[in-house]
Amino acid sequence: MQGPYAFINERPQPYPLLKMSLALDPHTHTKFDALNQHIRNTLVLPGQLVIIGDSRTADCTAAEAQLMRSAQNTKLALLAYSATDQFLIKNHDQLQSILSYSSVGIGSASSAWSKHLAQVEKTLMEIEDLHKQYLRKGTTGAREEFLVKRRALFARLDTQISGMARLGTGLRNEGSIKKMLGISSKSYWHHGEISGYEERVKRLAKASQMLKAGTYIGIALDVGATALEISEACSTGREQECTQAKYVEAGKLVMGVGGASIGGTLGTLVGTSACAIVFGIPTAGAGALACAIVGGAAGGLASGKLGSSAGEFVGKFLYKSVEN
Amino acid sequence: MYLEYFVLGSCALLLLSFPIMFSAMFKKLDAAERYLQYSSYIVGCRHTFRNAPFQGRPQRVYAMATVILIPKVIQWRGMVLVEDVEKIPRHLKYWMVIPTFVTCLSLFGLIISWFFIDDWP
Repeated sequence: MQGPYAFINERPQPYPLLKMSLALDPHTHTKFDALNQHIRNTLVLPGQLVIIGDSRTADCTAAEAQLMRSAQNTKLALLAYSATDQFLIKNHDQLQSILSYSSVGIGSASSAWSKHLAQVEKTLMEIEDLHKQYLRKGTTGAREEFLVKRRALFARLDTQISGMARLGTGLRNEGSIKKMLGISSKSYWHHGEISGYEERVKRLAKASQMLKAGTYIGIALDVGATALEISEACSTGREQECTQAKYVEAGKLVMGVGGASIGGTLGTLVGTSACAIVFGIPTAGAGALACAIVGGAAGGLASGKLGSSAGEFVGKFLYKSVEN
Repeated sequence: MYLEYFVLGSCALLLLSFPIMFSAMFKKLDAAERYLQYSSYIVGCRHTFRNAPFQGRPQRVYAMATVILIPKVIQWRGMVLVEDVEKIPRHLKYWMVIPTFVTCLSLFGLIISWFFIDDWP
C-alpha cells in the first residue's frame, strides 16, 4: 500500500498479537514498532489508532509523524476519560458486529442457515486474505488487481446476503449486513480522516467530562458512528454504496435521535401523569421521578427504534427516488 | 406507494414538531404557566423535571397541554381548578396544545406505518 495508513483498533488485544495479525513485511517490523510507540508492549485498547508505515522508505515521513501525534492524542483522550472510552467501545464497529452476530446466532438454529453462513464466512475470509496480500505487496499494479478482486468478492457477498435477507431471519439491510459481517473490521483511513477521528475523540471526551450525562454522549457517538459508517461505505470502488449510505445513515441518525428525544420527553410526562391520575402519586417526589424514569426509558427506546427504522426506510426511499 | 409518503409525512411532522415546540417552550410557556401557578400538577411537574434538559420545558409544555385538554380529569384528582384553566387566553392554549398535538400525531403516524409496512429495514 502506498503511503502511511492507520486504523482503529476494535478489541482489547496485546500488542504482539496485534502485530502478528497484520502479517507485515519482515523488514517493516522495526518501523512498525517505532511508529506505534504509544501502544508498544501494552494492551491495545479499542479506539486506539494503529499506524502502518510507508513501505517505500525505512525513514519516518512527515505524514507518519502527523499520524503519530494523532495517535498519541487519541490515546491520551481515551485514557483521560475512561467513561468515554467505555462509550466508544460500546459504540464502535464492534458493537454493531456483536449485535448483528446475535441475530445471526438466532437465525443459525437451522442447519441450512449454518451452511449458508459458512459460505458467507468463506467469502469473508477471502476478502480478509485479499486485504492482507494487498498490504504486503503495496505496488500500483497490486492495487488495480486488489480492486478488481475485491469487487468480485463483494458481488458474491451481495448475492449471498440477499439470499440471507430472503430467508427473513430478521437481518437488516445491506449496509448493516456489511457492518454486521465485519467487512469493515479494519477501517484504513487516509491521513486527513484520521485527524477528524482524533478531533471526534477529543470532543466526545470533553463532552463526557462537561455534561456527565449519557444522553448527550450517546447522541455525539451516534453522530460519530454515522460518520464512520459513511466513511467506510465510501471506500474506493463502491461509489453507489457510498451515496446510499449517506441517505440511509443520515435518515437513521436524524430520525433515531429525534424520535428518541421526543419519545423520551413525552414518555416522562406520560409516566408521571399516569402515576398521578391513576394511582394518585403526587407529581413531585421520588414516586413521580421513578414513574418519569420508567416512562422516559420506555418511550425513548420505543420511539428511538421506531424513528431509526423509519429514517432508514425514508433514506432508502429518497435514495431510490433520486437515483431514478 | 402511498404508505411510503405516509412514513415520509410522519417523519417530516416529527422534525417540524421541534421548531414549534421550541417556540412554545421559550416564548409562551412562562406566560401560560402563570395562570396555573396554584396547580399542584403543574408545580409538581416543574419540580420533578427541573434538572431535565432545558429545565424540563418540553415536559412542562406537554403537562400544560394535558391540563388544557382534560382539566376535569386532573381536577378529579384535586390537582387543578377548571376555572383557572378557563382563564388561560385562547392563543396561549393553542400554543400549548398544537406542539403536543403535532408530536403525538407524528409518533402515531410512525406507529401506524410500523403496522402496515411489512418490509421494514
